[in-house]
Amino acid sequence: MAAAEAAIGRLKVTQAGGTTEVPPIACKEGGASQAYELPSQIASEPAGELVSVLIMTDLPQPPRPTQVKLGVLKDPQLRLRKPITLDLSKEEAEIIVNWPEISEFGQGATTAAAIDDFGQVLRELHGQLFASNAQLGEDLQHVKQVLAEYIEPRGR
Amino acid sequence: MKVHEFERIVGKLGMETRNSSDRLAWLVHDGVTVVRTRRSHGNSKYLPENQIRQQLKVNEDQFAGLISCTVSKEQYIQILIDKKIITLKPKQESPQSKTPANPS
Repeated sequence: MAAAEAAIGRLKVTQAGGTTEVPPIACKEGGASQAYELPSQIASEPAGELVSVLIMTDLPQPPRPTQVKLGVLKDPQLRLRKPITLDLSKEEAEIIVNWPEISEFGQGATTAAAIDDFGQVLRELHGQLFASNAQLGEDLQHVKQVLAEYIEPRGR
Repeated sequence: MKVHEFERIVGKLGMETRNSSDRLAWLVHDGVTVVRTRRSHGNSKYLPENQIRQQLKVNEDQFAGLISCTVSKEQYIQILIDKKIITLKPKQESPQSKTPANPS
């Protein structure tokens, strides 16, 4: 029985005035359950001050980042060696991501769509520049070198 | 930039084109691909003028000239030569010039 009483414990109520211990008002034999006489609730007095709540539906958008990183190329045969840092801008309603190093870009209604478009463009460009019959001028040779620096075939 | 302006440049410069997920355009000079650009399909799609201009390796005035036809293909080729985007192949000596002078 003593063990049961210890297990039941005591109920403590914390109010504004402090913490009071509430004694049990009934205890069944065996101590399986008990009830407490809770203190009567006192309505809080009105503070006398009105609190105004302003609900803003047109919250200012956080500033758009000026750069994003492309870390994954969705391609079964190609993968990125390292992330590509892209400049991000908004022109009219379009999001533009630009890789100035090779003057390539992607566009879309959202940042994610623009990045997806850029990835698609990159895969296509890689295929064209690395074609065995490609005769490239110096600028596109440079683009090819940059792509080789960032992109490699999977499975290596 | 409008789609018809893009197409005007492509047509004027005689660029090779291919329709893929985008419309791709390549300028081939003497068998060598020297610049490339592209645009999204669809007439209502926004074309980022600055990015296309940079791909064509021209400044704003030259780009405006390409659109308005004040810059011809020959002038554009010269711009690319000046910028060393196009490198001129050294002229091969003609067989006649290699023929030793007649000793007689």
